Amino acid sequence: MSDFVFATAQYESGDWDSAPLVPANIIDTIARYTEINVAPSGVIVPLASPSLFRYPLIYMTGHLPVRFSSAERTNLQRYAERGGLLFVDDHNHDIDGTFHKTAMEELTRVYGPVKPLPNTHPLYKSFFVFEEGPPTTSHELNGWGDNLVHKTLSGVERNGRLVLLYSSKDYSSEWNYHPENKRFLSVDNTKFAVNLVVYALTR
Amino acid sequence: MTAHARLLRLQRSLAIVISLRALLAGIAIATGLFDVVRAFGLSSLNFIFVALASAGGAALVATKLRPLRSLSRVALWVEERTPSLRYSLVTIADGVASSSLEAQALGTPWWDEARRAMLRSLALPALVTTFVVALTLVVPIAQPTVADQRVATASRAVAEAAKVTDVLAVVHVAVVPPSYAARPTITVDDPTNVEALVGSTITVSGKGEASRLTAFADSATRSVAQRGSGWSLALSMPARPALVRLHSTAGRDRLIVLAPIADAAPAVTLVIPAHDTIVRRAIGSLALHAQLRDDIGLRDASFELVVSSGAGENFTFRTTTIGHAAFGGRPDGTLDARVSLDSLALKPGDILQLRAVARDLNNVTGPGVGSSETRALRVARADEYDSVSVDAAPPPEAEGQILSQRMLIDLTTALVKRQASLTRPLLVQESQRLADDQRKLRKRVGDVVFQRLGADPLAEEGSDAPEPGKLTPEEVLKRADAATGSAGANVMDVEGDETPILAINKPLLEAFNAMWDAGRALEVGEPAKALPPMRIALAAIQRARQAERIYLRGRPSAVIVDIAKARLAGKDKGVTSIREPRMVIDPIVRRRSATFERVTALIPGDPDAAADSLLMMRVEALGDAPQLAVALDDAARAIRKRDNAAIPLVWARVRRALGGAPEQRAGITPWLGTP
Repeated sequence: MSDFVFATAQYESGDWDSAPLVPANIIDTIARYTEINVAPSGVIVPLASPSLFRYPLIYMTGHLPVRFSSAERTNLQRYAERGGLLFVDDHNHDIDGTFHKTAMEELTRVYGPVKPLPNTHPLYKSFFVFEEGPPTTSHELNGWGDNLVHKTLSGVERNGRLVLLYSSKDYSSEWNYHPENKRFLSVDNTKFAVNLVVYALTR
Repeated sequence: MTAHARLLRLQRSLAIVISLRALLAGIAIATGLFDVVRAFGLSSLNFIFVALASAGGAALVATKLRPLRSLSRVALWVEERTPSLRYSLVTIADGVASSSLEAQALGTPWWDEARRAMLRSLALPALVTTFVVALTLVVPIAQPTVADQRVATASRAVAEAAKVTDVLAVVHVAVVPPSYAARPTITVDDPTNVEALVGSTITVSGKGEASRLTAFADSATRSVAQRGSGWSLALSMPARPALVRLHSTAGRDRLIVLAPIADAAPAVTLVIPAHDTIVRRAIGSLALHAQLRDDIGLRDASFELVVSSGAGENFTFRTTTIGHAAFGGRPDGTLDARVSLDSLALKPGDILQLRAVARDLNNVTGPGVGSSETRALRVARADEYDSVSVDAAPPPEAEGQILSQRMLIDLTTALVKRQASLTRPLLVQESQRLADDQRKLRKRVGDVVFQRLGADPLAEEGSDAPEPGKLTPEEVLKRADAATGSAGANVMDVEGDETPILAINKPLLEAFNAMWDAGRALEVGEPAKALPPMRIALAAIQRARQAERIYLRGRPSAVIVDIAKARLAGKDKGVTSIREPRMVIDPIVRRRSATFERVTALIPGDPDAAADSLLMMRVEALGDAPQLAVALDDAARAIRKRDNAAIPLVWARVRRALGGAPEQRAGITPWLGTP
């Protein structure tokens, strides 16, 4: 069995599967830059399922309102207690959007206050070095969504490590392409995903 | 006055005289011994002996009062001093009444002699007492000894300390809950722990001077005010547990844990609608019903509706609230409303999400907001033909192939029917045209198969070589069979320069190979022989198509990354220096366990310090480990009470709460049975 399996969160509300090519793209990136043993395909994990605890990193995205069921909340709380990292990305890239509002509300209920992450956080140096914090996405630069370039990510730390990472930068759109098309990019825009995975596995 | 009356008066006088003698004796003894003690500088403790000795001497003299209870003994005492009475007085004392006896008893004035005798008996004690008292004035007072000085110093220190100790001797705590809670004031005496709602006003008070006391709350100094003859410390219950430390100038400490009670958010249950719903047309109205409950009091509640419209990357949202109701502090209630679906103008594909939201009265840290589960009502799209509960998926690629294969079969069947009327060259020409179509179709099927296999596209494009790379169809099928036959194995690794084979679609592989047979038959102008493999290919594609139908939600085909290939594509590398291995055990639990072990070692020597340490651990644990906090509080109480029976029990509870699993010791066979 591979050491790392990329897992996408399936939740009862919303369009959890709005970025279907992101897992393959991240898996390709992990294999491209690291020696981490990674499974060639990702898995989809219901947030209310106990199988959540098999995966150190869970990716969650969507456009529609997020309303966790009580089972999902309870499971996520246990997941956080056990040190799992939930990466939530707003596919709308809109801080006034419903996904952002509802997801932040639900995440605050589960994790407590979500605070901006300093750009000197170890996450940005866990593999590649991002001196200026989270890499900007083309969707931000093109004015998509709220027409803002978000300077920081947000998150919640427990016991000195991240258990929640929240992004309004729309990495889901940025990374949602077939990995074969990565060769057309002058700069690989998925390198930050390596930091995410390495951080989740080593911190 | 009769003789009997005079005798009674004498009896009373004698009693007074003897009492005076006892008093004088006591004074004389006490004064004399006091002079001795002072003169020789003896310890002050000897004054106790002085008091006892004087009391003993006085009591000894007072024993002579006992004979006076008998009047006959008093008469005998008189007869002894006046013999001329010839027992007449004794006879009268015995109750004999006679005028001759009376005359004889009164004939001699014996009472004068008795008075003189009594005065004489007082003279000596009075002289002795006077002498001793006079001696006291002249005897020099000895300087106190070192021991005496020590005793005196110690006594003063004890008195002083007692005065200072009084500052923390009795501590009262008054808790005034926040006004929104409408709860009474609580008073607690000598607490180690105060539990109250966040924002409660806490007044800690005691007797003594405020200047003798210093107060800290979580290491921050707090001012202690003087209130009359006592001190007072005002605090507000913080949102996080805190430790109040009272430190007196005498060096004594007192710890009080402030344990905040969080005001729980309202619990909201959406009763109607009970489930998510999908409708073809959103018309009419929808009844909503929710039940609400709060630990203190509800302020208001309403239903919140969110309508999501759009698809793909373009969504719009509308948010509104209906059915707002105020509850005025009632702890529970229900919320009812009806939502008009017509007024919402829901279009196909729109999603209506609704939930009930309630707020409580908390105006200190709140209001607390509670919400119910969310129900979704979705309007089906017109193109959702097979199931209204799923998004339509684009047809899988196999869908397109099946039409082409069926058309090829029809054309080949028609050619077979016309075969008898055609010349051989014309038959071969038309058959080869069909063979070209079959080859192109086979190539498209091969693209599907080999994309899933993770290999390069078919090398046979534009060539006549039908083999997929270096593998024959039989080899591919064999490996696919091997892969599909092993449950759970999705990927089959291949040695050498071959790519991994993912065997998820055996039917398409069968179709691919059957098409090869059909194409060979058509190439040589034998369309009748091509039909059976063509039908096999059609059936195989049909099975593949049905297999694809499992994914009704329309999930696109999973992209399988060729890990080995991707590893070769990486150019730049990251840094790995800051990577650290993850902790196996939670560091907080480990630190708490170590602290607890140190506290355990502290109990025999300094139990009060151990109790204080437990209280400090409790403050930290209140935030994230409530069970541990309760166990630590019980442990601290048990130590303060020196309850040796309870300590082992609460100690075990603390260890369990710390999460320490019981160790399996060598020599004990693990239990392997089943319940």
